[in-house]
Amino acid sequence: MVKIHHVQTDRHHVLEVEGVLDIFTIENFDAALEEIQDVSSLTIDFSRLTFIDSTGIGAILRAIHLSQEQGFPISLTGMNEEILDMFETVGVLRVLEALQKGEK
Amino acid sequence: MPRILNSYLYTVFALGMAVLFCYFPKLNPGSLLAVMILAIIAGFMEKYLVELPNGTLFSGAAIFTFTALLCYGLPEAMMVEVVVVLSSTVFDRVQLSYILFNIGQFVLSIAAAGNTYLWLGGTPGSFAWSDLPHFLAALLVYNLVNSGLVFVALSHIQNKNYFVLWYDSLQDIALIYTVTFSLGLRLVLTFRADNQTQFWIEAIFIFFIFLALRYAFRLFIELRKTYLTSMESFTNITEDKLSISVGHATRVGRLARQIAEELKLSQTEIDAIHYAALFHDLGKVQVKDSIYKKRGPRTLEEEKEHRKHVEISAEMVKEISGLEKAAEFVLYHHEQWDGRGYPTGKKGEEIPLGARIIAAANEYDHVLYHAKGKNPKSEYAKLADNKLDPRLVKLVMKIADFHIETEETAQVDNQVEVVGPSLSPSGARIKIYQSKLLQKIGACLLAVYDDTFRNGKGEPIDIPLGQHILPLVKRAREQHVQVREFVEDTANGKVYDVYCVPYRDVVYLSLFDASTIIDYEQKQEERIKLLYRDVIYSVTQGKMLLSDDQEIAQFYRSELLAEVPITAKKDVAICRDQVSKHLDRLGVPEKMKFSILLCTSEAATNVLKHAIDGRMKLFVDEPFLRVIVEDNGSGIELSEIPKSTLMTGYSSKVSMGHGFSLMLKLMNRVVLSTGPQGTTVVLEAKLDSDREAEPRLSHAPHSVDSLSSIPVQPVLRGGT
Repeated sequence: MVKIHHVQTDRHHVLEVEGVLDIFTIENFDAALEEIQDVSSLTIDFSRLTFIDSTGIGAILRAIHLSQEQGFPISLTGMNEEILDMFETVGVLRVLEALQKGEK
Repeated sequence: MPRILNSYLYTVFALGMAVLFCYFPKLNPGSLLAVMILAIIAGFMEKYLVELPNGTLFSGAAIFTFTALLCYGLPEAMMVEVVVVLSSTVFDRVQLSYILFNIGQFVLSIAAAGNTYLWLGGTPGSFAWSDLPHFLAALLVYNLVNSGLVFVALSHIQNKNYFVLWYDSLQDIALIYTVTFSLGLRLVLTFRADNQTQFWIEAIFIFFIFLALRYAFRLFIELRKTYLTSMESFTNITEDKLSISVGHATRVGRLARQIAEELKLSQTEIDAIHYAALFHDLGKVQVKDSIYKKRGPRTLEEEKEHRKHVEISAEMVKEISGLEKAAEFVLYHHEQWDGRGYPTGKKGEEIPLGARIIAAANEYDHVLYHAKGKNPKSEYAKLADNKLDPRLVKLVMKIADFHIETEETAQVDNQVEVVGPSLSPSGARIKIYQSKLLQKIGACLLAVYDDTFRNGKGEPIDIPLGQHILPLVKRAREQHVQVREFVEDTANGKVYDVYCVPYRDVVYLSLFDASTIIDYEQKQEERIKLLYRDVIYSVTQGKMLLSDDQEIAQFYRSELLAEVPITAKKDVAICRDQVSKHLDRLGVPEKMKFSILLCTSEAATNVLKHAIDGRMKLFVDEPFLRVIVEDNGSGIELSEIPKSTLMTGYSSKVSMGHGFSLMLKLMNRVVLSTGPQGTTVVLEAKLDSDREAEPRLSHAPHSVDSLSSIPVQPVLRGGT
């Protein structure tokens, strides 16, 4: 249902999510997130994400909060129009913006 | 001032003591025990006060004082009064001077009443019907002296006119007079010097009536408070959405109520004004929200748009059951005293008083919170004659303190200092409640059990539900414990509250018909549910409907396309796959398909998060597509509904609870039915291809009608 591809260049990590992110699959995402060690920055790539609901977004928010705790920048890329719309509605982008402002 | 007050308090005490010492030696030692028991029951009555919906506290102690007077004599009645006052000091901490005053006050009152009774020809211990007028007169004297003495003190403490206090309390006094008289009479008539069994059963019965009354009234008051708080939180939610300072409506509502109370308007009017003030800005949710988020002056076009909110608010309020009158106040709350307001340009007294009050409270809040360094008090004073009714400005200057409250004062009613029987401002509703509850709670039965059930006269009688009650009575007798149990009569659905009190080798039994209270509670709950439904319907502009199972049933009558049980996490994906398959077949555009799949996913996930298992069903009923998700969980609490459905990011369990707000945004309509048997959510999308690509919260006020053709409309008027 979901595959999380983890690519690392130096201390920059990329998590590419392929498939669906919902209550059934967030465990895989959370597990991949936990495995990441020694980070300077993290990118989550959604270009191959086919579906996400608010439970999946919960997992994304956990990643954002983790980046806050450990003090590394995080970016979200590759959202299609529907997913971007939904991120907007649910407020993920606002959370991200607020946090990034706080860092500066 | 305190000096005058104190010397008054002590004078009353001294007079009381003098009278007490005159009568004390005449106390009959033979009746001491009986009088003590009466006094103790009266003491408990003083502790378990009944709070009436208007805040008046009401004790039944006087019933027993008069019983003592009529059955035993004046010195005995005095003793009961003294014990009652002293016992109240055990339960509450009261200033010493007040206690002493209370003793004096009650002794003088009963002395006056007792002498009236004797002077008119009444003889203690032998009450006959011919003594009825004497009893009435004595009770009247008692209330007059009692209130007269208290109001002197109260007028000093509260700085109010003595006669205004009298006027305000007349209704309360009349009520207390009637209840004391009728219950006292009932008790006195059962008194026989030789056989006192029935007398004591009756005394205990009256005590229980008061407990039941106290419970019923408290329930009523609690429910009203819940209703008000949920109304306030609704307005807070909309304010948050519109970037209006949160709590504005709540504060305006409370000040408006205060003004209305000061003006001595009727209770119904005060309530209507309070609700209207709470909802005065509700219509802003339908005006473009960018207007309110904008800083700086509005353009003409924007101002025109903004002004529409009064009409929209009024329309919305009109649709909430029981608030028709409030709608008018909402409509005119932006009219000005000088006629330069909107929407009609009415001036002076042409504007309804309720609307003028809301305007005065509203401006007060604005001035206070947007003072920008200016003195809010003088700014507010400037509004008299041009914007606001000068009389109301004067009143607000008197009652408001022009300080921003840091903490929310949750209590609506203000505390009145207690001196003697606490008598606070009156309301017009007492009579209604009195008749509704007093009459119904009386339905009960008293009996004695000594191997057979007997009535007070010792005659054998039949008891309803005897076979269920007999074991209770036997247990009370054998184990010598009090037994209380609820027994249901399956034949007629009545529920009895049964008390068994053992005494020596018999058991006293009292049966209350509790069905009325239970019914009452249920009706209140239904009423609140109806109100929630109306308000949610209004706030979501008809997109969200709270429903019941019967209404939901009609959604199952169309063509079933798919059915998936939801018991494990993987089932959420199966639900989506099934729905997706049918959407493809129906040729639903991609964007809409994503919305429907998302909402299906949310609803199915809720089943796993909040219940154990459930199922998803997909129906098509051209042009509507409905996804119905049902579960067997414990349901959503009524008071949680506004939060979990309307606030973004709120869920009754700690998780990312965006479900409902997403559903509301993406679906044409959401119907929710929830209760202890489970929750059902109906997600409805309209499949027409010429519709907008993406349904959004509509800005047009009447879009509700075009959204659905299903004949489910909430009952908006007429109420329960």
